[in-house]
Amino acid sequence: MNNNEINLLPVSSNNISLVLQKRIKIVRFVALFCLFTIPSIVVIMFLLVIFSPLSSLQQEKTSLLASNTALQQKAEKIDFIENRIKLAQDFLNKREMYDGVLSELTSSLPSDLTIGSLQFTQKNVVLSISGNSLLSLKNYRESLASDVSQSKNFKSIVFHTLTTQGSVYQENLSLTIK
Amino acid sequence: MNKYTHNKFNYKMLWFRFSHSKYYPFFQNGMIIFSSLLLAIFAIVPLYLNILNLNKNVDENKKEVNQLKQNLQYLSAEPDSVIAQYYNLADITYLQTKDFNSISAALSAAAAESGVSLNSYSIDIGIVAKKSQASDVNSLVMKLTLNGSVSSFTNFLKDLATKAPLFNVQSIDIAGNNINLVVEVAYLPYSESNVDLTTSPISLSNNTITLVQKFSQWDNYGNGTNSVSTSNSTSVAGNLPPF
Repeated sequence: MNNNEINLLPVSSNNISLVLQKRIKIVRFVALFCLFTIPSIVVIMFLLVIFSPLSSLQQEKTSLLASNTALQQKAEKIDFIENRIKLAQDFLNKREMYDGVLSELTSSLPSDLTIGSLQFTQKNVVLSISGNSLLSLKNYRESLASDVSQSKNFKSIVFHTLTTQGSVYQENLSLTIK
Repeated sequence: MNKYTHNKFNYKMLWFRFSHSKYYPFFQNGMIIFSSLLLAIFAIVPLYLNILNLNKNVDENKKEVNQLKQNLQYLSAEPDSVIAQYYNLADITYLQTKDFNSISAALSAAAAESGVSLNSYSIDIGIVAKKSQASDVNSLVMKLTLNGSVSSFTNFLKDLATKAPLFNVQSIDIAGNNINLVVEVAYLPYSESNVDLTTSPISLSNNTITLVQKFSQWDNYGNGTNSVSTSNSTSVAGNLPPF
């Protein structure tokens, strides 16, 4: 019986197998790596947080704002101008005035014809023209039709009725505005 | 006399045996790795997230400071008198209330200039703040009865476009010389503007300047160019064109 067999203490490292020793070396290397790397990373990150330029930027912003309170009022005025004018422009772009359409309808109207009635609702115009000359009515109709074909003011035109009462002719038509 | 405690757990003995076993180095180094992992999870991850957030904040603050500097530079360069002048003109672009007197005065003036007679008008007061059909502003609907030719009426509309410029025609009904017109006149109550100099660029666009100059040519309920001072200090360098 040799000494080792009667030793109550655990086996010493000298007797650990080479494979185990290799494993221990690897684990020790990993442990040392973790021991130095991770705290270093923590310290670096902590320093990055501590020395970030955020607080100086915030201070600069606050001091700039505080030293230029008078310009704030000026900025509010500019904002007011921009908002109002933008709304006005929006309104003017979308609103209906019909003056161009009315000018178009009256400018091409022959002198011997009169507008009996005219109704604008939304994008529609219902028109009643009367006069003694069928030729003038025809010319006016053709002028409106050419306006539609050239896509100036009107999108479509519908001729409804042509009636006569004695020597007076009356034509009803409707137009769709662009 | 001490009792013999062979069958009881003897932790000291167990630990002694374990600390001298071949697995102890694994335990020792494993504890270091485990502690490091804990540190990584509970310190590095939050710090990393914090740094990400911090970088985002720094970027935002840098942008804000730059924007603020640009705005302050622009505002310092623009003469107060010019801004005040544009402000007055923008202010009178809209009626601020349902100002019946101004509207009826503008209607009467437009009718007189265009040669139509304004027989009667009524105002729909009903809805307190009715939105316009044309835009997102309040409007007042008016029904007018006029008398005149179609060409005079066309001129009336053109005149009205300078005297009460922000109006929208809802319907026109012409029968002979009798004209029924429904219009809505826009008004916009004064609203406080709350500008953040750090986030939005403050400047008067060329489009706005052009429009203000155009609007200033209008009579605008009798508040047009004549009543607004057109003097301009040119001694201070600025980007805005003088009137």
